[in-house]
Amino acid sequence: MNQRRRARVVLAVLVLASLVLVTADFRTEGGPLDGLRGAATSVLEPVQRGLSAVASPVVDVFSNAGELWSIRADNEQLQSRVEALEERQLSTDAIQRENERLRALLDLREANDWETVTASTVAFTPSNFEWTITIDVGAEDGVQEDMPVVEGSGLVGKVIQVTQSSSRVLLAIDPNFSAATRSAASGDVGVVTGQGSDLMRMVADDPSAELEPGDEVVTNNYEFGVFPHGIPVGIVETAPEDSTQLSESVLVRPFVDFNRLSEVLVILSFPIEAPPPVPDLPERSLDPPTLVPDEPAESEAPAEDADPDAEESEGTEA
Amino acid sequence: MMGRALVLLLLVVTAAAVQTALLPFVAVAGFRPDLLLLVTIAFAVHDGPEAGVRIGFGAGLMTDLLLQTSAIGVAALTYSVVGYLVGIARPYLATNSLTAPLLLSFGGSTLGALLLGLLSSFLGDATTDLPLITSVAIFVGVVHTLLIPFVLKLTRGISARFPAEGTAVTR
Repeated sequence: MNQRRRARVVLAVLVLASLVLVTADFRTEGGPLDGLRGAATSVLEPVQRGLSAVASPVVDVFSNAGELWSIRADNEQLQSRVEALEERQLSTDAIQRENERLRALLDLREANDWETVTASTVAFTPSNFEWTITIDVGAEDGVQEDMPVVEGSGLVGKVIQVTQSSSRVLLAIDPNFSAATRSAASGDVGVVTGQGSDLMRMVADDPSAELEPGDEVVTNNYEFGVFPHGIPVGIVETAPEDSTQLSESVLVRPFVDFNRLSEVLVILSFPIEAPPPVPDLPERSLDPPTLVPDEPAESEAPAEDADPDAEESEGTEA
Repeated sequence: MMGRALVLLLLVVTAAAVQTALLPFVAVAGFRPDLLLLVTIAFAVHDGPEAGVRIGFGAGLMTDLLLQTSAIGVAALTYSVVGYLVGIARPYLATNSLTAPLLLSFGGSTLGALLLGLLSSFLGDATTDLPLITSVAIFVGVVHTLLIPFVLKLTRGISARFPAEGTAVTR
């Protein structure tokens, strides 16, 4: 009984402490609690990096295990040889996959005039209700909040927290993520948002937008936008749900496999495209206007002042 | 007492590192178990409500610090409550049976995931919907039920070497 009472008191105290923390976190944006988050990320980052490095080869082994079992079942006589070959194959496959990933990143960087830094994923979020990753580059590499993150196949997300040597990235599938996008086929613009484990949703600005299954969705850069033009986001999976809605929305399957993120690029800067010049603008003189005196001298009085009707008829004749 | 606190701190940090660095590779349909919640439940089952509350608060706070879109304190509040409820429910079941920890684990994990999802939606920026929260809760409940015997072994080992003050240790 005494133990229960003690437990109740401890619960009451810690629940109160939790509520104080929640309130403080709401009221102090960028305050000491955010600093605590950064500190936790920094402390765990080396451990996560080590674990991640250990896990990668193990994951590669598991991903090839199915192949190994089927070969065994098919040909038991060659079992030992198959195993030996398989071992070699595992390392070759792993190197080949890494090579492909890095080549895709290189292609992406060369195809665009971006200043980038390459990063490795060291950790994922601990929660099932948030989609973030931790990468191994931070402020000392020039990373700042809101910078876009991409990989070879498309948009990954944007940086939301930066410490000295690591950063946290909000993935594009997180429900809090949104980006201006357009359909590469029709040019219709809209906003794409994450929906967690479900497909992403794109809401078109124009209710009569022509979004068809199979259309590629890419980012669209507005003035002061976070993402550069043309980063592939995904492919339209479904036809518009309901044409009576004020806006048209479709589901988009992302190009990026968010469960297998490895190397990514953080875009440090990208050229902002200047708006196209407005045609047929008359050239204006930058000379200051001449002041008209109160009583003009007779010699300076222009002939046009005489009769506006006469001028009009002259112009017509000409 | 100090030794137990240090061991538990180490356990929570290790669980957090494993949760964030390794478990994503074994995610099923994007969902994964919540090791920190599982550790909380295991200690509550073994050591009672007070240990459940204390470890729940620590584990929850660690989770909060590793999240970005929900307010700090939400997971601490959730895990503390779950630790308390599991610890309180323990005497009503035959604690030495195999099924009791399984039932407590399923109930505590499902409740914990539901509470965390709902509170994250109400008190944080996370905009998670009810079907997603329900799916996560069921997944976490089932997977934790399968994992609890292994985590309980670890818990028993720690509690045997570093017993909790004022709590009756079950066999």
